[in-house]
Amino acid sequence: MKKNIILFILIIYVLSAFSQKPSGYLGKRFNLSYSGLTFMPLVYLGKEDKNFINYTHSLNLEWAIKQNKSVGLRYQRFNTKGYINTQTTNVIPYNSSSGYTSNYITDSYDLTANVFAIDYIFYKKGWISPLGKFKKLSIMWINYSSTNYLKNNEYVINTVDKVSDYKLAFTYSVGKRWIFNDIFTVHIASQVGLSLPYTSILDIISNNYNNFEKGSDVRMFSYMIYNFEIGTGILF
Amino acid sequence: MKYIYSIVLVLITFSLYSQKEYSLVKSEGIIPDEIIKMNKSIYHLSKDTVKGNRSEVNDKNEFLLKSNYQLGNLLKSGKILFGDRFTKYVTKVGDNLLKDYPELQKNIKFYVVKSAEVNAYSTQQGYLFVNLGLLAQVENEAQLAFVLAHELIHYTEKHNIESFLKGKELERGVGQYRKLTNNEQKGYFLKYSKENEMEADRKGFEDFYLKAGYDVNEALSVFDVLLYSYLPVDEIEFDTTFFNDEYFKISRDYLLKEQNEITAVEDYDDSEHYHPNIKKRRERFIDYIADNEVEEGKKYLFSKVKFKEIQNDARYELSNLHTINTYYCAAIYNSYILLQKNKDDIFLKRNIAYALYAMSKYKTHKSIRDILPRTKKIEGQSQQLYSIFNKINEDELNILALKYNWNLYNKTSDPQFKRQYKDLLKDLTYENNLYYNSFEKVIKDTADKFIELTKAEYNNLSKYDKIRYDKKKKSIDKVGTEGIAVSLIDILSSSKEFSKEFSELSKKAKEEKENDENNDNKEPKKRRIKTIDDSINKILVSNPFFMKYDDNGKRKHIESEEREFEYIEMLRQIAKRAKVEIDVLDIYTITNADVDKFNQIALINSWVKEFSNHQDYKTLWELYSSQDIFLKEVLNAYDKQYFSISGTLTKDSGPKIIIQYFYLIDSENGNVVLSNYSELPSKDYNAPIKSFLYDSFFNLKSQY
Repeated sequence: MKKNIILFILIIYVLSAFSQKPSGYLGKRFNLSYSGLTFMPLVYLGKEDKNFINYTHSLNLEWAIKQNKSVGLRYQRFNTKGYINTQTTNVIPYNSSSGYTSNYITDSYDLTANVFAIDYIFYKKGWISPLGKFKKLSIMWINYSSTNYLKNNEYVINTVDKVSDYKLAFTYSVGKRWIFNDIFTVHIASQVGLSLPYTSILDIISNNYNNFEKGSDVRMFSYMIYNFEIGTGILF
Repeated sequence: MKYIYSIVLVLITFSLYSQKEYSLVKSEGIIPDEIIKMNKSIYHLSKDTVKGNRSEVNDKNEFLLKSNYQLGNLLKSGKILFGDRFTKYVTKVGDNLLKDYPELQKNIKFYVVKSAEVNAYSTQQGYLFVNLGLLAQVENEAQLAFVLAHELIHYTEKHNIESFLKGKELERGVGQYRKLTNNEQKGYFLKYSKENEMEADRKGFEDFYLKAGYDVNEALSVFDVLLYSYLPVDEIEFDTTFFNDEYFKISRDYLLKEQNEITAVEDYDDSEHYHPNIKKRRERFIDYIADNEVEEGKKYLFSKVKFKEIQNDARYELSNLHTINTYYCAAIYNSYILLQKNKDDIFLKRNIAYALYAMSKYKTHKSIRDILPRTKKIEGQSQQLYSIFNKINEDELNILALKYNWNLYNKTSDPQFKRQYKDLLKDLTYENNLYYNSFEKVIKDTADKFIELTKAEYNNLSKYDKIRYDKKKKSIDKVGTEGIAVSLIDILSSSKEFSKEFSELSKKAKEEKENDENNDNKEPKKRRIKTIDDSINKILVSNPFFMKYDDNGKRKHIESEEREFEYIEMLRQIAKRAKVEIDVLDIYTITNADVDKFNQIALINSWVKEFSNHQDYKTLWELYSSQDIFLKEVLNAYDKQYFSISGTLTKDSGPKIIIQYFYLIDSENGNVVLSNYSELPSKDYNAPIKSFLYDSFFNLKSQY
């Protein structure tokens, strides 16, 4: 991954060295910004309703390459918890009062994702990058892992399981950036996208994610499908 | 005796040589405060004096806001003159009317406006404006005095503000105006306005004109001046051979057998007019004369010679004003009238040369309809000219303009004629596909062998030689497109420089055309903005413009003026950041002593006005301006070659928008070397404006 990023930066340097330089904003062509993103997880979150909307963080670097075009690099980190309620019979020991019986298990997992993105940003006609209304096309590499904790009751010994996976996502955003005091920026954006490997919509509708792997998968899918971003940064 | 003859001879020679080309009028002396003060401060001063009930105060304030800003914008536009020969003359006549009213005299100030329209007007603030168009048309001092007297009454009787308040009263439907329809409201208002005009005629006549001692009949004849004001300054027959020479003749097919009669009717329907029709005014005026004991008055209280000088100069100015407004036929006819007195006047010929050049460019590249009214709409003798230029072919007009400009260049070596003929020569080859070869062949076949004979020589020829001679002569006399082949014989035979240039250009044009055909290039050629080789580090920024509009598209006067100040400051900051050295030439940045700068602003504004008449700002095309020589003069004073026209228009409510433009002009040739334009759907704030300005300056340095 590191190699890819270095290669990408090198390509930009070489291209910009041979192409016409854009004016940027008063000569400033870079925008380093932090933004927070929110999205709806689309999956059942058990009792933890407060987690109904997820938050994530993003560090962005945007670089004007033409009068109304920029390229960007993004790193996003996403850390959250998920819950699955499953009914099971095969892990609960014998209960003398009720015999062998089914029981509900609250299954939780921690989900961590590291996202790297390459953006190509088009500013609307008349605006000069990096100011104003823009559209953004991005390719995202999502590397995520989830750790599962099985909790039922005092009779069960906690078990731990961990899976790692990746997704590739293609996203499209629309947004706007403002500049204050010729240096500070504020931006908002809405993003829609699709991640691959593709998660079946039927899986989502039928709640067919009764294990933490499926749950993580759907969470990552929903992360890409729509999110809203608000951020602030500086120009240089 | 010999000495006396010698002295007279020297004096005559000196006077002939010292006859300079007419130079356009400029303001002189100290700039009046009202021109350089902010409109806002003048408005606030007058606002403080308003009294009355609440709605009256609101209405009066609205009037003061609008009228002060309109007045301020006119004063700052560079269109008005002060301290010059015209204004001094008008002030002299005006002050004489006011000699018995010293208090009033203190409050009145006369200005002349560089406008071809036959008009005069006064404002509530005591400014009385007379257009150059009126000075060119009035026949004597008395007629001018009557117009001034009329306008003075509008001021003394407060007609402007009273009309505004009457309009508001009607709008609200108060008292007797309750339940009026819109049309009825309008009818009442127009009636009120007509009464004011009648009052101004009567009181102006009685209070000022008669008391000053002017001839009554001349006041009456002012109505003729008004009635026929749409006609040129004189009605003389246009000599249809004016543009002809031995080898180029205007086709008889283009000429009118007779011109439209002058149909101006006195008793026109004035129901939609603010002024009563001329018949009513004239009849009422005859009653005023009958009501007064009229003594025999004078046409002139001051020098008749001086008036004639002023009138003549105003007519010279008119030629230039018509050209700026792209009324080229009007300009040619006006210059033609003036040429009758001075056949070799270079100013007038320059004016005609440019008008021909511009019309040819329009006919070749755009549409002549953009600048030329239809012949049937014109009345009087000048209609002949409109007929010619409406009917003449593209290539004929190209050749006519080329020959006129070349001949003047040949006589004067003036660079303006040179670049105009070169541009026309380029059109001849590249656009009208007329190449040197075809002309050269005709020279060999026709001109070299044809020698014009005297009558006696002709009679001595045999029958067959006579027939041959007549045929040859006819081919040279031929008119229309076929005649074009011989049209350049005189120039090609006499000038190697021209022939060489034409030959090289033809070769180049043919080659390019062949290349285009070989490449199957069917796309029409786009005319590009000319670029330059070096990066530009210093420019003159003239009259940066900022205008804010409300929902209804009306100007927000106060905010616009305040924002313009900020805009100028932004320009300076951004230029500094972009390392471009700028001088800002703006009415708000000059002092009372800077009359030269005021004149420079006026010259640049004239150039910009002409430029705007030709260009729609989005699709620029190449056309030299008649005012380029003045532009260069201004830029030289600042040691700059380039100047910019920049501005911003914003609307914050309804559909929000910021429109910005930045054009860079090369004063050497009047070419646009950089064009930056943007429309943003955004509220007005500094960042997008700064961003656009920086981008414009940045392009100056990096584009080339």
